[in-house]
Amino acid sequence: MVRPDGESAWERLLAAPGPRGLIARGAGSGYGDCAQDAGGIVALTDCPHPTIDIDVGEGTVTVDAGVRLRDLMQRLVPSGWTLPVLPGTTEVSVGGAIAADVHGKNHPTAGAFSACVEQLRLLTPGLGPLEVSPQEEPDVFWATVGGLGLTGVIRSARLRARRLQTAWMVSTDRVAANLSSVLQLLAEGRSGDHHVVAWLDAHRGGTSLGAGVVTTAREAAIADLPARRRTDPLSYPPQRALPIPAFGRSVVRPAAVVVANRAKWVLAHAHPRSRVMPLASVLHPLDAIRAMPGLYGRRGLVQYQFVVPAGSESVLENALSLPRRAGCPPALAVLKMLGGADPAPLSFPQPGWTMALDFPAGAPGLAAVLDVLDEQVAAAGGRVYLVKDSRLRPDLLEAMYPGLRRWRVVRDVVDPDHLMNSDLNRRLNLAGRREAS
Amino acid sequence: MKDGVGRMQTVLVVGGTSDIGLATAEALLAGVGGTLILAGRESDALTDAAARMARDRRTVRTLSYDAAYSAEAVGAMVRRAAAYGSDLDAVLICVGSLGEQARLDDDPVAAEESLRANMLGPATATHAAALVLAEQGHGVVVVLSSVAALRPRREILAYSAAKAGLDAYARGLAEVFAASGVRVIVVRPGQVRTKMTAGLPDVPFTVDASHVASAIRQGVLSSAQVVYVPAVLRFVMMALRALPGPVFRRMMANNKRAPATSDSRR
Repeated sequence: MVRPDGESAWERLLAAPGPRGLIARGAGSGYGDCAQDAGGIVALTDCPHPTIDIDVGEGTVTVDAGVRLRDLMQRLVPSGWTLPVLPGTTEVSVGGAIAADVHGKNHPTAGAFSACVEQLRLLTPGLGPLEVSPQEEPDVFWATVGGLGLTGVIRSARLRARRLQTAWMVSTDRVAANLSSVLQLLAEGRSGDHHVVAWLDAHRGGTSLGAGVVTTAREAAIADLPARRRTDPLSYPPQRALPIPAFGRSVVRPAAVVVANRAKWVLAHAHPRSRVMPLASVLHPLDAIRAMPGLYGRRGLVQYQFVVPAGSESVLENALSLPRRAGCPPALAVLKMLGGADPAPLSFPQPGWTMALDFPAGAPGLAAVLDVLDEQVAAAGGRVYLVKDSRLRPDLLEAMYPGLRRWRVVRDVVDPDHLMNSDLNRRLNLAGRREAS
Repeated sequence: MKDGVGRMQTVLVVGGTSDIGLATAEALLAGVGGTLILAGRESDALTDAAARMARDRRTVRTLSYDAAYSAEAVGAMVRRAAAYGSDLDAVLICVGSLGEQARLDDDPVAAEESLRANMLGPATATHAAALVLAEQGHGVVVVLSSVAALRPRREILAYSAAKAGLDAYARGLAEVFAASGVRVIVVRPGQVRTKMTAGLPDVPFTVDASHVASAIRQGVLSSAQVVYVPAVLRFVMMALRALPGPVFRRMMANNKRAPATSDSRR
């Protein structure tokens, strides 16, 4: 692991990274092996004094790739700015957010993270430093968005910011008795600038399959705030992370999960009205449980996130019922709606429903169940989210990402010697292997 | 590359016709397809094994290997195997043969051959494989030893003494390569029912190759360094090793059905 200091150090590194190649790592928050490179070099992009440059006139912010969204938001929000697209955790770097083309709970109206990227500076092994945007070198720009760090090292980006009135949101929880009412509430909630997400109780089956709580939230206006908050509506205190110890063995046991899920359900029943809540706790619930993977013990968790087009709701049902029947129900199940895809060949979001399931990695039978789901997702014209993947069947990659060949053509130009490499790339053969004799 | 649920993509079996090796490869690659490379003497048995294993979307290749190969030749063979897949996730060292000790007693040339087949050959292969895996920064070498390695006996002198040497060398290599991300696991089965033991009577704790395979898979998934099959042999051997020499020899001579006396595979 290295932390290159300055442009020339990065250029030297890219000139001769060694036989196992190089991958950049931002916050290191990926669930899988996207920022690992066994035997090779992991280059850290964070640095002690990063640039965060807000241009108030243009409404943009120029930021080093290693800056975490948490730190960026600490600067933006108190000055009345936010990003139009924010993922469920701010414990990711700007570079990581671009390389994964992350999305938020407002994807149908706001698009993926690429929607707020105006330009980025990319250090490529083949063509050296490049400034790319949807207008200049669009092929390289779109291959880098969602490109999992394999087109080069993202050094900085100019992001479009958006004006913000308050650091608060008005959030409403609604309970839904089964999957079809959850889907209906999700579809209704997407109007305006709403953020909509459903949490499902994956332990319920039969007629209650897919029962859950749908949360709809919008940015609060000053008038929505209680009087005592109106004097400083943009106050954005850092979110406190819960102290979660790392366990040797998984403490995510069926009984504990059932109790936790039921508790959430009952609490939603008890508070069906709208509440004014801090922006961060609505949009970034994962930040409070930053150390959450520690609960899953040494073997960790497997997150399975996929998207299927509308009309393939049976895959959603199977994703809930098959693991339950195999004795490995997910500890956490989240459902969202996605809108139109951007032009990036490896970007995950496409129109439809996206479901994210968290499993303890050691669960017996899990591997076989997820293999079956892979097939159903691919057959439905959907795909699995690569940045979160740790076990996808490699033979289904091309079916899920039809733009893969197009992406490889661009990648072969910016990195002809395949110097950018990661364990994810090796496992799924993203970049295409040169045939061994 | 090993995935998040512990499944492998590319496995090399050195001693590619070994029943235990093939059963273990099957267990490690279950449900993934993947790439399997069988290295062994060019023979119908090797071709047949490759044909048997080629199913469920799996690619099977064969490479020429012999226990008499030089360290250099073994290294080149492992490198070729690594180039077939996306890195080698596991290398199974299943080289060895039992031989008839009574014949070896009078034939130092045949005894030399046995020592080469059971110690020098597999030890060199283990070392070469660990070096290649260290360059990729990950992977596991599984070395088939035997409980006989813990207490060599005159009835299977060459075999058990060779296994003792291989076992000690492999455990040493495990330490040498620990920091490079490579694991070396030593497997010590009792007698295993394989095509080689056809006709031999079962001794206590005799197991099937599939039993050894699933124990190895468990060992690979956990952080085990030494795997006994069946697991209880860890304690049986502890007791047997504590016996004074004369007592041990009398026990073995009196009881032809004593446990852990031979390990026949291939």
